[in-house]
Amino acid sequence: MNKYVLILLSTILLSTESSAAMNMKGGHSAVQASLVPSCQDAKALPSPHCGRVPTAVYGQTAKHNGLLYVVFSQNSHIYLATSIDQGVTYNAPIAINRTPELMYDDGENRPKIVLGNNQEIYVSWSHKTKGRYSGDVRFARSLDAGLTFDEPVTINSDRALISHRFDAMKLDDQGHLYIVWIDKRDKAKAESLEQAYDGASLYYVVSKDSGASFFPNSKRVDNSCECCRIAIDTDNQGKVVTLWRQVYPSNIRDHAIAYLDPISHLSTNTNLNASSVKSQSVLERKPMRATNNQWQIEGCPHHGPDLSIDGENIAHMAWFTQGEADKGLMYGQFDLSQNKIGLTSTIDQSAGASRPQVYVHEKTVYLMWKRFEGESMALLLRRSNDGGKTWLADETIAVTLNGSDHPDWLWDGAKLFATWHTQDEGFQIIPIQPVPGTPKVK
Amino acid sequence: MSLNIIRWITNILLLVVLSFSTFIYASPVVKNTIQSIDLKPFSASSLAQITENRAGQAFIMVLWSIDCPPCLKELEHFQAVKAQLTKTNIVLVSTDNPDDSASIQQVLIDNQLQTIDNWIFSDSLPERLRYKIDPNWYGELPRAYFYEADHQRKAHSGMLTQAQLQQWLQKHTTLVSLNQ
Repeated sequence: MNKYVLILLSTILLSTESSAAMNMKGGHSAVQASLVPSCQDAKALPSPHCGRVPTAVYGQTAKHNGLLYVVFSQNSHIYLATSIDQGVTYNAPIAINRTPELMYDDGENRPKIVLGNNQEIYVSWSHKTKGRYSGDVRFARSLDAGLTFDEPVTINSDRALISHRFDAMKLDDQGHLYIVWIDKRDKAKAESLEQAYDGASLYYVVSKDSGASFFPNSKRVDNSCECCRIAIDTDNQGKVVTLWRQVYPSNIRDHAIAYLDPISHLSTNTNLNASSVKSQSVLERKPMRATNNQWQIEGCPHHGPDLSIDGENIAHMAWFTQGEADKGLMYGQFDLSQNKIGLTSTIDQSAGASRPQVYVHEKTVYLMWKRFEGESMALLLRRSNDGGKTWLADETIAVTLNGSDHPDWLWDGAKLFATWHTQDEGFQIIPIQPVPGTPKVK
Repeated sequence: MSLNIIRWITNILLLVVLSFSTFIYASPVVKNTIQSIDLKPFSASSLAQITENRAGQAFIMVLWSIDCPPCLKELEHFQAVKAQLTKTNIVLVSTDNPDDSASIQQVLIDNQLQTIDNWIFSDSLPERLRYKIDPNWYGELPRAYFYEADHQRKAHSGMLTQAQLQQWLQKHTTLVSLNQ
């Protein structure tokens, strides 16, 4: 009798899902040591193949001579390597931080590189400070196309041993530089007052003198998710827009979108003094909800979104969710002029699908993601010729048998490439072939 | 006034606790302690080995990570029922990188779970291990698999409460004693 009661009880408990109390990491760890043969030589120079999380950008202007620039992490340094032949060979890399420091170098939290309109190169990364999840946002610049770099500086004004990490960086059309990151100073403050505080907050800085100085740290939003990368792009007016995972009431972790600088540091004559600090609490434009999957989860999924904005000011977004209605990788649009969510569709619902990327050029929308297919990891591409209304068949553009980084895009001004760092193959730059066929009718 | 004093005392206490925990974190892990913990590498063939070693026996396999706050809470629940845990009825698998071994061992020691069957993901392609365990698992943590004696299993996403664990343990202890 007792036995049956217990069986009944346990059946009930097994069917009760406490889905909120979970987290996502199940083996989403960073790429491990390279297996590329040339990297096994102890005397091998640091390189995008042998290091970790290489991140690439093309120097499209004459000032940058069409060079390919790649930043990567190796031996506690962020290195910059350049290539004149689209990554077939690299010049000897330069260490951007001459003093070694611990840094976050996983797919989700990796160095960033942005090129200025002249010969500026801006690099940011998250330095690992003492304690779990702690870090500082670091920044270094070169004014001579990477021959020399200034000493790195710490961007976050709060220096507590807490999280200031997951930096994202973008230049607007006026040449002003923005850095935004996830910051736990408000959470720490709330905790010291024994108050509840969900998630972390987003802080940002602006520089209008090519990174020589920055306006004071400004808060953009409370209650961001703690460890998902921030997506960043410029709109059709060249203004910086960010998309991030936000913690909504009851631990719903969907996404919010917003212009980064609502207080407009640049339209007024504010200086680095108290008068500019005063106006910082005024949010001219509230963040808007960009995705609505009602994903309730305690803890951070470590799986941030991607963003690409077209000429009509439609933000194209790709993200991961485990919401009530939708599970897996999603694609969606947000109309920045109308302030509303547009088309939404599923990219891939299989459990092995991860790390979706989106890129839009005129009417062509590209999606790219990783999918584990039993034995190997495939890199998939899907495209739309009509702004995301209809999609062509998926293409597998690369496959690997061992560990791999998040994939990324690389635009050379005329052609699109995928970049993918894998343990077996090193850093690959994969040309995306021009769209086959004519745009489909809806 | 008195409220301020209480707050002041609380702050002092908090500071003491905080500095103590910092000390724990910063202190190098004693080598002997490390060696006494058996943290087995979980490879593509490990699940077969785990089930083979438990033929005809019910058990729970739990996947967790040090980067997952609900997982750490769940380990406390395991600690609370520690007296009923054996090397057979519970398997803990950390999905962290082997680089994190020292931190994982420290967490297991802190929760007095160092003597049970502990594993750590060990594959250059962690997705391979996820797939081997369950092709339909998206990687959410904590994740538990309740194996019956015939190894029919049920998956559970999210933190297990102490009551849930106790009920499972009671049920399976009862079954064992009935069978004997």
